[in-house]
Amino acid sequence: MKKLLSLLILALFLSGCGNKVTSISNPNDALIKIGSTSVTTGQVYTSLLAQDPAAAVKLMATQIILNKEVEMTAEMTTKAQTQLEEFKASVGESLDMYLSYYGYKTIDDYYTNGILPTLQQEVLVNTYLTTNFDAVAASNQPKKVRIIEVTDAALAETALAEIKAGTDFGTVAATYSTTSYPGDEEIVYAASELAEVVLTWMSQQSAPTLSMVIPDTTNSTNYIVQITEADANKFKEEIIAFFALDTVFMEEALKEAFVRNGFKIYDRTVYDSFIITYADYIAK
Amino acid sequence: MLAYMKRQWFLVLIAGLLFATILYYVYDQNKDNLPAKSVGGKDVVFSVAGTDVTTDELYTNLYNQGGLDIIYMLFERSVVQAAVETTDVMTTKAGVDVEGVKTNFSDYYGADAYETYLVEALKSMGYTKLEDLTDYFIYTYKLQELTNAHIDTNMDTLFANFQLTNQPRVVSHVLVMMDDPTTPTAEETARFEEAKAAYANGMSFEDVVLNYSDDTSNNTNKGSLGYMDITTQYEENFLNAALALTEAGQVSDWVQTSYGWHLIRVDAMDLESLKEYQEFYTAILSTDATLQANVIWSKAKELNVDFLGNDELKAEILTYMGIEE
Repeated sequence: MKKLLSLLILALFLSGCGNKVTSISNPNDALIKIGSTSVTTGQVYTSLLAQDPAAAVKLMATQIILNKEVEMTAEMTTKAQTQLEEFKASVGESLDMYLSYYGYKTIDDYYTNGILPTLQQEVLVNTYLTTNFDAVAASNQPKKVRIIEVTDAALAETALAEIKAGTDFGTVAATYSTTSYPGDEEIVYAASELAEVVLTWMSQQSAPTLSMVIPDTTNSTNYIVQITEADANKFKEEIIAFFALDTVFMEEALKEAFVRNGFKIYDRTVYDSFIITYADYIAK
Repeated sequence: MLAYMKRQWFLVLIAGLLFATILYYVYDQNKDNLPAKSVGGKDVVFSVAGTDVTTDELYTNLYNQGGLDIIYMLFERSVVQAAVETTDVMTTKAGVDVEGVKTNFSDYYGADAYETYLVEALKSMGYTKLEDLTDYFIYTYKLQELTNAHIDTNMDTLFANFQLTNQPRVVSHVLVMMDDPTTPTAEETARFEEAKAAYANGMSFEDVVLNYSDDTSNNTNKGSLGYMDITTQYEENFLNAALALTEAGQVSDWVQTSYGWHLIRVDAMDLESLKEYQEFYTAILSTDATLQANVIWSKAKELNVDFLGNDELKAEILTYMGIEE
């Protein structure tokens, strides 16, 4: 009984003692002395942390994950070299200005910390999308569609009649559609930047079909949508390539990789800064 | 033991509840706490994929991105703090300004959220918590005092050129306000004509201000607008008329702006009068991009600044300040 009581009292004393604020090894080292005061490395570190360290921590952790999970292949190195040469050719004599603008000190810095990680991240997100394809496809409902937008409702009905009569969708689009919708086949998904009425109609379709005229009362226009492919498995590679360029899926892939690799923070200031934007990246 | 517990069941129940409460309290206090970790005597800031990243490594990374900004900020702050003592006036003024800022933030962001935004704003200036707001204001007063003293010391070289380029002066005005000066109402016209006649018939400028000026912001202060120069954001007609006056006491003709009709008087153009206005010092400062840096650097040298043999850092700081030693 006494032991149990002692343990409880100890636990009470220790409660709240785990909120560590980390310190650098040499916080008292002076960098500059002005009279009797000094600017120390500890002050610099504290001030740097106050400037939102989350992005830097995420970048550092991302690089560690990429180096662990994505091996650089000869093919990737060749691609990186090509990108580097293309970049140098495109910026010409303004190279230093562009490097500085993008935050790189040298061209080697850009190659090592800009081009290579981007290629590694492409592999990471492709792997994520391939592994989780069924779930990603189910929740995002990718489809191949062609869309026409016609402001005038009567003309929209005429356009629809012509499509039903067998006129090529693209030809009808060229005649009636606004320039924003040339009628080309494209991949869209649940979060695509389309009118809500179009997204709603598409979400209700599970096979190739042609819509009626879909009026959009919010901006006084009309849409005609033709779904050319609704089975995600039939254009899996295209979906993966399409989603891999979307920052939403890049972040999803990273989020999963962070958790899978047991990302943990041991500093209260860094943690508080990190969870504001990246709460889902931390392993529970 | 069991028999004892059965006899004292109420006591056991109370003890059990007490233990449960303490256990829950301990859990609650610790559930959001972070574990600590160190490797080779160095604090670990985060770990991922089996790799521990130390605080030193994070410091290096952060320093490479914005370390010089921070070092300069701390350097400048140290120089100012060492050069100027905190006075009671500064502390009192800071207290007023702190309350003013808090009120403004609270009005804008709401009473529940404003502190978060205020702390974020402070962090962008290198401070860490709400209580630092007072320090921030005291620092700005000290910097102002230091800068003004430097300008005063070097006024002989600074003022002549500034006077030519900026045409500094202190002015007052009368404003007969009109809703639309291009099509005044009969009442507005009558009032304007009355003011014109009064001034033309010898009423003093001060009395015209008192009897006719509609500028409530300054008509009890003899119509004074204070300091102005060529950069002051006045309407073009007003600015040109005010700058056309060449000596103290001169009064312009009536000038039309979107507010109505003005009569402008130059109250002073001499250095001693101009020095009464902080705007004068601010204007001088704004004409020279390196003046503020020179103020800091010259004071730092006076205070025997020592880069402890790190010539590279010294060169970086000077480049950052845009000056040469």
